[in-house]
Amino acid sequence: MIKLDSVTKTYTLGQQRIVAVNDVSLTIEAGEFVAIMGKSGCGKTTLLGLIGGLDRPDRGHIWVDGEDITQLPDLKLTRYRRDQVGIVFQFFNLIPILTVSENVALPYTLQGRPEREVEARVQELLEDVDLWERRHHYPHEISGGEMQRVAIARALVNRPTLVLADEPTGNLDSHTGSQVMEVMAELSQRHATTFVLMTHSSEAASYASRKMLMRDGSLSSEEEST
Amino acid sequence: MLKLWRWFCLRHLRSYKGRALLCLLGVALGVAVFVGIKTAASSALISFQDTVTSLSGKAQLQVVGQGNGFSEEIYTKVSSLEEVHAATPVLEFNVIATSPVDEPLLMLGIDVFSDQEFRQYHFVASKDKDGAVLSFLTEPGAIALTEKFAERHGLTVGDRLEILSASRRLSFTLRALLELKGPARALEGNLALVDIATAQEAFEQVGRLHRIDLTLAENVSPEEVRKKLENLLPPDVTVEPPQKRLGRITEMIKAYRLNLLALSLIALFVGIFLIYNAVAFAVHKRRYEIAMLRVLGTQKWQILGLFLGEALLVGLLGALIGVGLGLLMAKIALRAMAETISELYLLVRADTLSFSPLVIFLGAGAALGVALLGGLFPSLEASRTLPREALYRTALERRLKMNIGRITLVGALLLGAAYLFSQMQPVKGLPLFGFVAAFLILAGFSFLTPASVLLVNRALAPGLAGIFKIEGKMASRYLGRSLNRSAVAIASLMTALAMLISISIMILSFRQTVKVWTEQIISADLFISPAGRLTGQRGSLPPALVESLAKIPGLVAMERLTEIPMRINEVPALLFVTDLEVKGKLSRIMLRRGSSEDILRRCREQGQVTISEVLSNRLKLAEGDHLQMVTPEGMQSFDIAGVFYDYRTEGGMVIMDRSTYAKYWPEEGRYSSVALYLKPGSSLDETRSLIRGRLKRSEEVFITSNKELRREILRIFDQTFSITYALQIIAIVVAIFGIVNTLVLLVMERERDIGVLKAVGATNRQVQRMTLLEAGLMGLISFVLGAVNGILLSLLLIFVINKQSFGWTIQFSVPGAIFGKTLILVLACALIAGIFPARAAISKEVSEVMRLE
Ligand SMILES: Nc1ncnc2c1ncn2[C@@H]1O[C@H](COP(=O)(O)OP(=O)(O)O)[C@@H](O)[C@H]1O
Ligand SMILES: [Mg+2]
Repeated sequence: MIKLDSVTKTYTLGQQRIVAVNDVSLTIEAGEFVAIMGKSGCGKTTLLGLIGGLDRPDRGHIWVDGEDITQLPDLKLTRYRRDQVGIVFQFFNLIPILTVSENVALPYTLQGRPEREVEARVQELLEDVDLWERRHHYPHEISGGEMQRVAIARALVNRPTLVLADEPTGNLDSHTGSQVMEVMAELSQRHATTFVLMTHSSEAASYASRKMLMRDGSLSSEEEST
Repeated sequence: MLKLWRWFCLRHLRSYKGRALLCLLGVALGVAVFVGIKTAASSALISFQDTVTSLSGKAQLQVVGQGNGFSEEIYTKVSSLEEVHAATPVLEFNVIATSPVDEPLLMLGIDVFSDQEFRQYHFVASKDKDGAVLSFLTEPGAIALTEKFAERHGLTVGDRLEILSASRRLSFTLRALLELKGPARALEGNLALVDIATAQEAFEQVGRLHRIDLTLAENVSPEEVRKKLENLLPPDVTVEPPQKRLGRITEMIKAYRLNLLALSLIALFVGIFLIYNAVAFAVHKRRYEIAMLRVLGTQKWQILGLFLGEALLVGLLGALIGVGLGLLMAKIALRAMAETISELYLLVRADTLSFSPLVIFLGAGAALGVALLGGLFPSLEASRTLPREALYRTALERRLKMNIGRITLVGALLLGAAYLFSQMQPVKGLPLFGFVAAFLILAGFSFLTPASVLLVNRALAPGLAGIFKIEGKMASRYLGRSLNRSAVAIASLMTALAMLISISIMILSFRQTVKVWTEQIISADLFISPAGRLTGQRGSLPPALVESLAKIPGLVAMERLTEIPMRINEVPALLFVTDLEVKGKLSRIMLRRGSSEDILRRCREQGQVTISEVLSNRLKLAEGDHLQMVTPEGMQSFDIAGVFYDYRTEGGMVIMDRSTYAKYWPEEGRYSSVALYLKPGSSLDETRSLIRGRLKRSEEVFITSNKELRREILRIFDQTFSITYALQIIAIVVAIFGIVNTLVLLVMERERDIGVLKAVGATNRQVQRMTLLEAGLMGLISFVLGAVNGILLSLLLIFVINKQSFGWTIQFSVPGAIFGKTLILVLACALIAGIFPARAAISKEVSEVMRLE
């Protein structure tokens, strides 16, 4: 279970103060597939960064499975990212010098897990996203939709409690986008993992079990206006 | 355009001060080395030329002898000639002032009356006419020194000055001070004047002269007078215009200067890579801006101009700083150089730098050239930016394609050309084509770098992945992928290393050769030589001492050596007259062919000579040929029995038995040094103190054991190469700047990857380790390439460049330790260079990186 309590993040740009995330409180149950929708600049990426342990809030607390990640020291936060979170970005998800299977295995490899264990897991996930044939290809040799599917597989490799996706379809045409979303919805079910999707597209959001709206840093609860 | 440039380039430079500064410093160092070395070398030469010219005064012709000068009678003969307007005799000694100072002095014995016609000396604070003051000198023991020298050492008129000339201690009284004008400028004021009669007596040269200066009557041709005089005078006395001597000096040290110049160019060469990196960095940082400019209608050539302008700005600033720094460096280099030249060629003192506008201009020009060359490719890359790239600010990872095949081909062709150039003959005794070949090798290897990096990287990849896991694997992959950047840095470090390794191999091979040579040829137990030995000095041992040495207890044999400097067919050479019977039995020379004992016996019994390898090369004479030498008895021909290796001087050498010598030259009983062969078990210390006991109070000699002599030869050897070592270190420093720059650039290009890595759980330490590994890998590959390149270059240095400039045979040997040491140095430097970018790699927050669009 994930619980946000009055989380605020402010940026200062020269003289100007921008409240990117404004007093957000939110609870997500384990296994839920939640979509947070909002226009560009409303604070989605910032919020995702906070939940994913990429950044720390100025105020407020974030509990993940009972642990307050805002209080973790740097090294533990890195470990949290590595062991409990999987992230899918809009751009540059993949490391260009690694093959598809190496990219998927990356979080595992970084932990120094034994080769055999890694291989079995990678095969399982690549078959899930239907890319096992492409395992020896480099990112620049596959399409954008395929890249995102690889990214999803990578996000899951660690058996994370939480997968965060930031505009995963933002860079794709609508057909490929819906394919990616289907894969995501299916995997969230099969692996019983919590999924949080940040998107400005209501089409992508429609795959989620719960939708929320973000505007100017504030979260207005479920499906107010769509 | 200028406005555009100010906006885009100056602001960029300002916001990357650190990196711009690093690049600037690199270029400045390259320029500084060039300007410094060139200025120092020409200052030393100019200072010496100044000495010669100011001393020649108004002389139109000079009568000079070989070895120990000539008889006074010649003066009478010459001055009575009607074509001669005026003549003055001169004695010239290089001596060491020992008390109150320890400095070399050029001591002139002049005839106070006839000298005035030739040279104008200015005396300090004298109301009398100059002539009157000169007459001071005729007092016994009187000496005149320059004000500069006297002030430096706190001497005033009336003080005593002790000097050491060869093995003789002499004392003079300071009678007058000279202003630093005219001839007194010789040797930067280290000049002493004495009366010629005083000099003849003090130096035991009664009846001898070293030189006669002449001015000619009106309307006579100097060349005709010269011919007439040469017919009139003994064959071993020559007549020449003073300029001729200048030409010889320039000739003598030209190879030395060219060597240093070539070395100094390497730092500039490395600078090209630095500029390349800096401009590539700027282009990368601003590719979006460039695309935007293109959208707004900026022309391709304007973009090219923008970045070339930036490169030129760095070049210009580098030139400014470099020239300043170079002139400072010149000051230091000048000392070292003057010392080396004094030790090897002729006595020089050089305190003042002569600034040559040409050198400064060349240095600045070189900096701009380096900037243009280095900046051209990345600027072209910038100008090819397409306007549409502005739209895909992030998504379009523009991949520079390198045509590795073509680049490798160019490299191979350059190496082929290098081979052809290495086979060419020297130009006027200088290995110009050899140096061209050296630069072609460096350039060729630079072009081979991308392909070699791929190969070596591929070979190392499994090992790296095995040892360093994912970090090793990624470091190696990144290196392979960013070839267009990393190859340049690797090439620059490779160049510096190749230079370090090749020169080390050359020097160490040379040193080893010299060491073996000293062990072979130095076999006597004790060597006795004058304490005040200076280059170009005509000193000898006290004859009484040499006589008494023959009766030293425990003596097996004694070899008396007389060295006579002469010119054989315009090639400077040293005639070594010695007792070959002793040498043949108890010692040996290192011969190109034949046994030492046989050949020395032939020299002794059949009046033949043995010549050094250098002389054999210069005169194109070999075993069995005839050597023509001018003797007091006229031109004589000697059979050449053998050719021997010798590394003492750059000039040639001729070994002749004393009995042969006595046939053609008057035996004067002057010995330059003596070698004593003692019974086994004799105590060196006892013999030494015995010899010391036989010296008069005014005499001083060096008594050296064979071990000490060998050590001394190696010490001089090492000193000769001190500048070389300093230059190498500078080139390495410049190359390390390149590595830092490249890695920082690479890290920036990879910011997003690093963000993703951290987002999926890479620790800071893992990211750092990856960057460091890559730095280490770059260092390692540079080393491998540098080693191969270095060995090739060292072969060129030893068998072409050295052989053509000096004529010495050096036994090629590759000291393994050099590679170990260099590898450690490189890895250490690369890792230290990697720390900075490794920090940069983790400095950005992941969330920040993610937003980079
Ligand atoms: N590092 C930063 N510095 C300053 N302002 C920032 C920074 N990151 C984001 N912002 C601002 O915070 C607001 C929210 O940004 P973001 O979370 O990226 O929104 P979204 O992902 O919904 O487009 C925007 O106004 C953005 O300009
Ligand atoms: Mg966003």
